[in-house]
Amino acid sequence: MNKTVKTILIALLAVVLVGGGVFVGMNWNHWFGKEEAPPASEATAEVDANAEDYTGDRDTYTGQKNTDTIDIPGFAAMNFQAGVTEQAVNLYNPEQNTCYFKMTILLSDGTKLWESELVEPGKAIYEITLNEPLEAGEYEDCTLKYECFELNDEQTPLNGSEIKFSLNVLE
Amino acid sequence: MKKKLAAGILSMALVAGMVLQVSAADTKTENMTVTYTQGESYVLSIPASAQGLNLSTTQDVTTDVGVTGVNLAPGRKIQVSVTAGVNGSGVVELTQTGGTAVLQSSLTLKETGVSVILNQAFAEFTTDGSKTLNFSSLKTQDNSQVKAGSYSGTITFSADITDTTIATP
Repeated sequence: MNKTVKTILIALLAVVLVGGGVFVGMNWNHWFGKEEAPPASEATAEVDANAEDYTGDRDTYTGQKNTDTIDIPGFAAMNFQAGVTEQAVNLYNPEQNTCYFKMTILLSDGTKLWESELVEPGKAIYEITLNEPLEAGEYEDCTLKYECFELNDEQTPLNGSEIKFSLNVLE
Repeated sequence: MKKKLAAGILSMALVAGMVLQVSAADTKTENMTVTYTQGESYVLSIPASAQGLNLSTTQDVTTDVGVTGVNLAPGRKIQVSVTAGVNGSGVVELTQTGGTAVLQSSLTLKETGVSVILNQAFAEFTTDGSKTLNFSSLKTQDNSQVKAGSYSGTITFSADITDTTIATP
């Protein structure tokens, strides 16, 4: 093969190599790159219909339901507003329970301030109406009484609980 | 003239220094108290029912009573007692459904054998924990034959947050 042909071949090879490199480089992102997000003007999202007003943390599911036990929320103190019957509270039946709660708030002398209907597991009561308004002060030895009932038509009574707490009635 | 001018300037500087002098005694500091109170809370776990325990006429049955999620201030504890469903001798009674027969079981703290008596704290906790209760085998009041039928009874467990200086009876 004479020198001229060799030169031509080498030049052709060089052109092919350079052209191939340019071709691969131009298509690299297309072949191996990440998909680009659509432009902001095209991206849409829908409002979640399940969202509701945030009213504080609630119990989340932490495992199997209680079949032989009942979990009773307890606390040391509760605050009420003096002179009014409408009060804000955080009373709930833990989601893992398998019974209804009926809750009653009692003063130390047995005066019933409020009583709930049956509260299902995973449900809470955030607003209550007292039977009577209270004067400002600290009311010791109050009771939050929990009566528990089976989740059946008979609502068979189960074991219950009484949580002792201090009631702070504020101006 | 220059001397008078220099003297005048120095005098004014001296007077200005006297007038504008900051007295250390006039500097005032005030403290502001910032407070926050986190409420105490816990979850009391109790047996759901005597029926659920499958109490037996031939052997003792145990169950746990405990607290979780305990969040107490320093120097505080949770006392647990039974306020209904057990008598002053630590005896639980189950009544026959639709009848008058009664079965009895003695309720004790398993680790000590001490009876769980009405309105007397049987356990205290400063952190998450549990105590095991023992229900003795069911018997009639006069040790006669156990009559057929279903028996039931309920127990009320009470919890109270108190100072650790208050002794458990």
